[in-house]
Amino acid sequence: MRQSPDERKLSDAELVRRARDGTATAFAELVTRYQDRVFNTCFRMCHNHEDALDFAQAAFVKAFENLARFRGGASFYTWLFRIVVNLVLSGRRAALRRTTIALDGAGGGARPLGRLADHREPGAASAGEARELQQRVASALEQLDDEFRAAVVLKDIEEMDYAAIAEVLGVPVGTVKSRIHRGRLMLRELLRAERAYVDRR
Amino acid sequence: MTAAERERLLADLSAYLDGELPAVRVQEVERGLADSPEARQLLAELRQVRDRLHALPRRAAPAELATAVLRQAESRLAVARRQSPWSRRILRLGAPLAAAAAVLLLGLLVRQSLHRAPPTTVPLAAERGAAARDDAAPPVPAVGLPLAASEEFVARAAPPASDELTRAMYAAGEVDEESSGADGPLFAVVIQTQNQAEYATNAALLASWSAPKAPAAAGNGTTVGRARGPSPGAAGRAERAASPVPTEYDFELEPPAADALLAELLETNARDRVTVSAEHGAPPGQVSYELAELTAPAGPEFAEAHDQPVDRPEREQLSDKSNAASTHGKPARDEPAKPERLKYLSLSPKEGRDADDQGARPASLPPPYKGFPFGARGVPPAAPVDGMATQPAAEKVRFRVRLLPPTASATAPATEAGR
Repeated sequence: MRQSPDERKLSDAELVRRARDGTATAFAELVTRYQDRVFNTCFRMCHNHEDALDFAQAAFVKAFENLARFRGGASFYTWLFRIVVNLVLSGRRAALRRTTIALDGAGGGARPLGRLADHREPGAASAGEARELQQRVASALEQLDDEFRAAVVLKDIEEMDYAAIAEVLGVPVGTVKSRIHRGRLMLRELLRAERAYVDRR
Repeated sequence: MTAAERERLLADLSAYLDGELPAVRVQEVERGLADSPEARQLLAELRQVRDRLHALPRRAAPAELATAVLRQAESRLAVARRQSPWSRRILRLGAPLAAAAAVLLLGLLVRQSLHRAPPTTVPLAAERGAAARDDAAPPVPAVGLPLAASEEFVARAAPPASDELTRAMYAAGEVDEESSGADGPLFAVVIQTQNQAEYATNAALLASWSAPKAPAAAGNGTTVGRARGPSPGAAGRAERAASPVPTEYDFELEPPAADALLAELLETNARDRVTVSAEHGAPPGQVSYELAELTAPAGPEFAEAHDQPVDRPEREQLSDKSNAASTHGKPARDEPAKPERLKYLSLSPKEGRDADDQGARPASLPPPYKGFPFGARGVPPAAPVDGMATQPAAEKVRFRVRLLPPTASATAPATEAGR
């Protein structure tokens, strides 16, 4: 068995090239390299550990299956994230359709945030408050429409630049800019509304 | 500032915050910010939103993600193969991915064996890849893998590699140099076909390996394929019309080529109809490849070739035995069966195993294959046992494939083979 300790130092492009040539450990290195980011993005997109795991898994498998078709026009990173986001968005659309039918028009609005606020314990320590703030932010993010959430997550959590996000989402850079801005505005409103709700109590 | 200018200013604040505006526009925005408290307020709020999002804790991928990716990848490959089990073309297309999956598994295994007990079955296909195929990917260098190891993978091994088998047998002293240097085959592979279509497919496959191009691809002028009985010839498809009779094909292949051929035979046929036995050093049938399902397969595409019952207790016993015989001895953990698990391949001394299990080994049987195959296989390749380390890499593998026509009692419908 030949060890290749320097595989971790290789660029994505070189790993992809090797993986396509049959060096599967190169693909394994790519998985290792991106599994945390992929999973975190999935988690922030769907706000559910199990779903995130499913989506991340499906994305890597799909990348694995399609590696031979990856021709290096994009970076592997954006190509992978395009798979990730497409899977999450299409999966969530399917889930949303089911949910919509089940709820039959009930719910909506800021209900989840309000419910979260109901569980707020008065006099919580600062660490608890910080955690609660994180929960509120995460819940607000969950409230966004998928297209805005995807843009905001890729920008503010995954820290991609607009060009990469445009590539991942398959939309023009101008659209990315607009979605990020509108997404942040909506988040601001959601957090503000919820803050007001909490303060009234 | 006009209303349109104000609107444009506010709309650009996120891009300004992100450093995504062109320099000219940055200057305009900064002038606008200087003039507009509203814009400054919005910018501060946008920054706060951004910072709060950025401060959300990162969720690390759970360990099972990499494991699941590998399992899924292999599963997809298995499905792809079964959807077109008779197509060598598909197999060729899948070969690089199959090799990739195998190496992933092997890497896991290596990693695991560094930390824990040696595995009971080992994905040996890592390097078999498609080395001998005419359009094959280059041999896959198997490398340590920085992924979380999972014992589950140990149970889901890739098809066997006969070079590993050969080395293992050498290492275990089951094949001595003298006998292996004789003209006879080292291994006998017997394929019991169930219908004429299966027979024809196997004949075509074997014929293609007998064709001159196959040894050329295998490299180094290996002599391959002296078919006995009706000559299969290169035009294997012609066999389909012929009346099947028992046919033998002799091969002498470089280990990667032998692996590839063996893997194709195992991929093409139901596992319980392929028997691989050592001709020297052990009576035929004494050592058999055994492939069984751990659990019921998930989809209808698995139904075809995998009707063997779950046989976990037996496997666990084998695990314990083999591990105890190895230098890393530690019993395999009893993990619960999972439905998505595929199959495992194990080498086991069949009759000896049964006798052992009953605690009464017949004296007529040769001693069990201590260390074979698990002893050699369970050692991480990075730290091979002596026998493996000294084994010449270019040792050719001789084996004879005996293709048996369907018996009268074969019940498999012809349509099954056509799938």
